[in-house]
Amino acid sequence: MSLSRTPHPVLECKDLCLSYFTRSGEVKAVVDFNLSIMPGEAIGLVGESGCGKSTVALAIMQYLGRNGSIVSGEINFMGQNLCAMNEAELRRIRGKDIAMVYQEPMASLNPSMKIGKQLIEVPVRHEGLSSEEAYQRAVRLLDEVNLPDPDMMMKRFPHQLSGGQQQRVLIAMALLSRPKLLLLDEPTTALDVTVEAGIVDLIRGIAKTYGTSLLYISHNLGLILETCNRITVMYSGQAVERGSIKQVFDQMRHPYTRGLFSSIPLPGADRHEHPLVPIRGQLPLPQDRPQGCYFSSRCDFAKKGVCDQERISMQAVAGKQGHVVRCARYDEIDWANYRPEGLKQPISKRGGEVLVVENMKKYYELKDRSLRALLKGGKTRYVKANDGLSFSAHEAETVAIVGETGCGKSTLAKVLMGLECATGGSIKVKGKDIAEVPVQQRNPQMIGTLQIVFQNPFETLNPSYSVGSQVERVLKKFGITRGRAETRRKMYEMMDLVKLPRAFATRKPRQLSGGQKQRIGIARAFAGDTKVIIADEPVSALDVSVQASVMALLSDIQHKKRTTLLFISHDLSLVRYLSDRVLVMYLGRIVEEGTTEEIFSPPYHPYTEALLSAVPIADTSVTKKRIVLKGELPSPSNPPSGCPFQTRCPRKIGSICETEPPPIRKISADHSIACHLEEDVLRKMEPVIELGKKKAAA
Amino acid sequence: MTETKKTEQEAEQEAGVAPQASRLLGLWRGIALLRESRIGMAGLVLVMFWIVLSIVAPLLPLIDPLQQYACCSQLGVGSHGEEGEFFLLGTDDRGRDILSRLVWGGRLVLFWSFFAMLVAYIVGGSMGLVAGYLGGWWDGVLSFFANVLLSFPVMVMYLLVITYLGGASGANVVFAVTFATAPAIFRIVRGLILDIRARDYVFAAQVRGEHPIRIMLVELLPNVRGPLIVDMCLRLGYTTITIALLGYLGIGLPPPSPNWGTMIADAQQFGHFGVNAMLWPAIAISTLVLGLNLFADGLREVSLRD
Repeated sequence: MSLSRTPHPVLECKDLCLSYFTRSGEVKAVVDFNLSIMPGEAIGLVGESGCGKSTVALAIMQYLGRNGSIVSGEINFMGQNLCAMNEAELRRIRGKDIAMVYQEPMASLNPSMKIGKQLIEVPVRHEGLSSEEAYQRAVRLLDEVNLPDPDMMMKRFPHQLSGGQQQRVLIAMALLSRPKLLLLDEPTTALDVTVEAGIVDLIRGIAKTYGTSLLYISHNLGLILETCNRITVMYSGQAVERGSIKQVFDQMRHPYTRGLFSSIPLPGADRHEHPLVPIRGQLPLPQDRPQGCYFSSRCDFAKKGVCDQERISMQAVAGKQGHVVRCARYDEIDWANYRPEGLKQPISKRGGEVLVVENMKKYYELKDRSLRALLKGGKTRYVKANDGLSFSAHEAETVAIVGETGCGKSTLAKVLMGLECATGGSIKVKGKDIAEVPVQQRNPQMIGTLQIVFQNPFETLNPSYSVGSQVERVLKKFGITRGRAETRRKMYEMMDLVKLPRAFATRKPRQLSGGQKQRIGIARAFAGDTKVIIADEPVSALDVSVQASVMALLSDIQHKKRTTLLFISHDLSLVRYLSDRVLVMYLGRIVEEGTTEEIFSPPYHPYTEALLSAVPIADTSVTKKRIVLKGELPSPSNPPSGCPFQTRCPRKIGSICETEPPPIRKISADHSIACHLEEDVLRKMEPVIELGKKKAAA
Repeated sequence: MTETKKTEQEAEQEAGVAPQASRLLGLWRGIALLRESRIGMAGLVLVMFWIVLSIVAPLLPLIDPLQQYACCSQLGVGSHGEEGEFFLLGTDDRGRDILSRLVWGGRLVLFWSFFAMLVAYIVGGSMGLVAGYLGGWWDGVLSFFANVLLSFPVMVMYLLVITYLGGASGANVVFAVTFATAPAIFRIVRGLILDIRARDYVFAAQVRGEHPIRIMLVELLPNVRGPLIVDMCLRLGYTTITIALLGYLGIGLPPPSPNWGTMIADAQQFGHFGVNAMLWPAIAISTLVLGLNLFADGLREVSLRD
């Protein structure tokens, strides 16, 4: 390629080093970072939390904050060095030429201003448009990001929109002044998968429609695959591999990239045959990084004298244009013969029924205390959080409960735990009905049989007490042990069980990493004589390389103790990897139930089909059918008549869906679908996910 | 086998010793941190000055604070009495030694304001815990009471409470301060608890069947201590002012025992003789309150840092 024909990059980061200066000294957040984005190109920046990807975005916006600064290197935007500009010049560029969309849509919109006013501000300020022209343009953009009734939208306040709509508004706002570069920092992390699929569709079209270049920051490799042309993988403040999507996804060269891909549950992974391989160890703190290659402390191929040399720079992969890797031994590693030990799970034979839920209902009364309601004496309305759930779970079985926000899975967990009482129906644990027994009236043994692992590792432990004492409290409370010495011994056994060093018992939660905290959470849940464990998204807040090991630990203990695991999740890849049976919930009802294999292959319930197609999969050989659901999740206080899914269903047949609740069609002994579609129509469905030829190991 | 046993023992030892060591270490670190905040240190020095002075007052060679020297009223700074007494800060209208009254008065003021603050905190804090954690009916009733009390002008409330209870006395002052400040403390604690009561560790405690009182005192309270300690420092300052004010109005700590507010009130009547007797207690009040405020600021500054 001759130089003259190469267009100039929109953004170029050259040898960028960014540091934060804290009381304890300099923290090198980003080291020796290079990046160039061509016009109309979408670049993905991927890495785990703390790897510096958001710092890069903030540096581009020149928003590093008081204690952060650019130590060396430059950031050139359209040939101009952003670091050399003053505040006034930067203000002209920010929001106009470079725009950014953040993770939390609600926090990015001003809650006290109408959407319209916030949108108009941008072109009025940056381009001096009259407010009339600005209004027209804003309406047009809202239309282009597929928001219904843009004129009405302009008159609304942020809290009147759903999360997905808010994120669309923010994207529209970012595009208002036709920026040359759009930074997206985890824009869909806070959203449900079906909503995410819509946003991803929108983002994919941006570069083509507006010629805008994108920098897409995410920890989700599947999303990068769906939206970007090229990818940069970051680890501990450094870019470790860069290349086109195909190069990095199919022939990754860096051991870290490799590790990342083997620790995420791709289709084809199987906990019994092809288990996930977590990356051992932990991300080092910036001050503890090893000399030379930062990944060497966790790498199976690290070699003394090679990997610990002064500086390891990016080198081009021979014969692959644009593919660079920061590994001193990238062409020596024999990947074909690398068979790392995965966390293989033995197959556990399921036992008798442990938990039987029959026609369980949980309604919340909506109390309208307004004067008008009092005068009219209107009827009370109910939120039907759980509307007639029936299922059973066996000993040593993993049952996944899948569904999006508002489907009632958390309510189900609360009723099971006794924090709420069921409105009707029964819940039998080992034959004893506990549907209407609140936790205060359950005896310690009963409470101990039914425990929960929470989602958020940062909230699951009380920050004021040592983790050991928190496990001990549970042991004492459930009457498992008596006396100090015995309790302590048992607590140490629990620490061993979750594979944490005993010395950690005296640590406070803040001295533990997210994965370690979650291990303590697991220890706590298994402390009693536990028969049923509810795991509410136990790993969704953890980094992918840690997820695999925590999940493996959980199912390992489950196997040993023959516990029933109710695994609540929205991550279908993980569900497929981990569970024996799956329940798909929508608006408080079970719409499909079956073994994992039956759920993931046709026939599907139309909602399951949409869910499956929405899950981003980080595998280039997979082809997916794209189904993007229209509309919003209806409110559970005012559910649609007939079939709950009829308002968004792409396969709606007609008025019967609106008038009659769907019949339950038995496809096989375990598999049932609640849908009006005839059985033979269901059976004719095509698979959503098709695996291509399994690529040969690179 | 022996090896595992040994590690077990080691771990046990570690577990036994470490918590206390870490607590001491934590305290030391706290002080070290505070040293980085200059205002915090300035505040601490001022507050410690008064605290130490109050503690050692009985050991100091001070003149009896109640002794009236008929010959020597309204003396200036550094004067001598007839029998060779030395009045470092002069005397008041009845010929009592100002320095001695200042020190003994400080002892009284500090004790009563700390005690009153503590009682107000126990009352307001427990109400806030209950309202914040249990919510619903409890919250409605308690918040209503707090709002009613807050709607009274503070001054009127002091007068009402103290005259109703039978005039000036230490206990009545504590009552009055509690009435006036407990609602504000209630609101602070309630707000802090509302913020953390939906955390997973609270659910975890509920799910293992803990009693609500245990959840409030053991799971919730320790996690809001940071902002509360800062608020306590500030509130101690306000209470000092309140007690001085009540003394000034003649409904505070009963005379003749010295306290700063009464000292100012007494001296004011004879202001035409000079401001000496008024000035010192005024300086005392402002240095103590300033010290407490600076100390609270320093604590907040340190706690907000990464």
